[in-house]
Amino acid sequence: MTKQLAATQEAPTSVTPDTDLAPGVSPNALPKGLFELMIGVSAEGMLAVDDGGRILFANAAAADLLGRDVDALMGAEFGLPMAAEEHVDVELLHPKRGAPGAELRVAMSPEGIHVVMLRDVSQWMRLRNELQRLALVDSLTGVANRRAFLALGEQALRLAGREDRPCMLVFVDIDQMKAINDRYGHRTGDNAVIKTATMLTDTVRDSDIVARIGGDEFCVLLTGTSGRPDSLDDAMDRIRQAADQLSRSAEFPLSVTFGAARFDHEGNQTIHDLMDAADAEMYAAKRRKQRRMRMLFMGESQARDAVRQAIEQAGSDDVPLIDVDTIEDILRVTKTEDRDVLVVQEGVTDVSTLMATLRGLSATNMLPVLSIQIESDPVAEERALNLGVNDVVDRGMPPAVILARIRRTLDTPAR
Amino acid sequence: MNDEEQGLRLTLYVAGQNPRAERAITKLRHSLGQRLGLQAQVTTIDVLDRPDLAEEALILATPTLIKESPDPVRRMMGDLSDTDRVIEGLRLDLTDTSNPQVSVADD
Repeated sequence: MTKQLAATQEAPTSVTPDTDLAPGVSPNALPKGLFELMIGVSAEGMLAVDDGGRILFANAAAADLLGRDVDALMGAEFGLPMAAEEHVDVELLHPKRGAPGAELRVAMSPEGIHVVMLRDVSQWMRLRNELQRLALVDSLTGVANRRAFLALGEQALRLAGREDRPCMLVFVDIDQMKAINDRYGHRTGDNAVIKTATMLTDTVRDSDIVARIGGDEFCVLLTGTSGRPDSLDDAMDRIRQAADQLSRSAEFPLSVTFGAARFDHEGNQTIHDLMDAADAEMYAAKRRKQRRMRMLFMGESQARDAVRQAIEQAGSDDVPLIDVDTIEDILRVTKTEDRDVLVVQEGVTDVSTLMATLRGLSATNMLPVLSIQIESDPVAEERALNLGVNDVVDRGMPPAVILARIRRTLDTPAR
Repeated sequence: MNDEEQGLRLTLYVAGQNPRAERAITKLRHSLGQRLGLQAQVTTIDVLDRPDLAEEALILATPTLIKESPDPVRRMMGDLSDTDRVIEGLRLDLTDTSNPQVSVADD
């Protein structure tokens, strides 16, 4: 307090606050030194600066904001204060607190002394920055949100265009999100989203952008090395491997589908164009996945030809036929997004037990198991198979293991 | 080395990214070149990266712009977007063509 009062005594008398007085009160009626006291105790930092930018006076609050003694500030170079607008954002160099933000306002006395007012707004700025951050970050995963992706992505594309860097947008969609939520609950659903976000951020470079742009959708903007378009393929391979690894290690069925679109430097593409292109690729990949169906045969495979014909009649070409011996084999080759038809020869294994086992295993308990009873009549067999296959292919049933139960060995292929 | 050989040297002190101040300096350089034929050499120092340099120059707040040469050394801080006021504050008088500082880097 002593120091601050001593400082105020040195204050130029011309620094007179532009204050409205109460009606009928003459300035002369106010006690001498009142304004100096008010400036001395003000929480707002106040400096008087001459035309050369030198400090003539500082109050205690200004000294506190600048982290220096009032005495040390006297005569120090502040610089000619410039505030064209109402106030200007500046940073104060505090020896201990870094560079906290402050508002600077400047008034000019008739004698040409600059009156500088400094208000500490560092806490408010922290809050503002935090709000900005929250507005741009997805709260569940901590990656960028859609709005941030559009803004950052647009910037990144412009930069890539200027620097002639290859760029690729990858659309990532979690498979069967609804089924995960329905069967395992929303907590697991959230977990699937978080795991996918972590997998992506762990795999790409810091300079790449990962964003959650919808419930189960992510976008990644990969930037490659100039003159090396294959650098993007390497990055994409790494993501695919990481996704496979995630799929294997998750305690619930978790897989993703990708769609990628390369940035055409000549094409004037916006981030929206690129997202649309990658999204379309992703949907095409998803459709391909859903159409993929394999025939798994357990036991003697005399039924193969009959089944193959049934599949062909159902409109599916190129159906791989795979022999499996054990449940472990089935689990190894069957993924949640696959639509496999499991044909079990009667007598090979107890079909009811097999079904119960498949349904009870966590890896397959998402898979609706459809059992088809096939009687001895070849025609009935064909119809029954068609019925089952059609359910999957035409009616868009969820991923399924279709358990075709062959009652007796077929001597001739069905016609 | 005298001031004439050194030319117009400016140092901008900022704390982190300050696009506003950097835009103001770009505008200032342009103006100095167009209107006064002055080529300013500008060094930008991030005080968060180089607190030692800020301490050495006794910088109290950012953004601060210092005209290092020619004399007189001048410093300004705050809103640097008003180019005319900055030129005036740096004592690079626009109207006085006999001003030795104007002829300094006029090459």
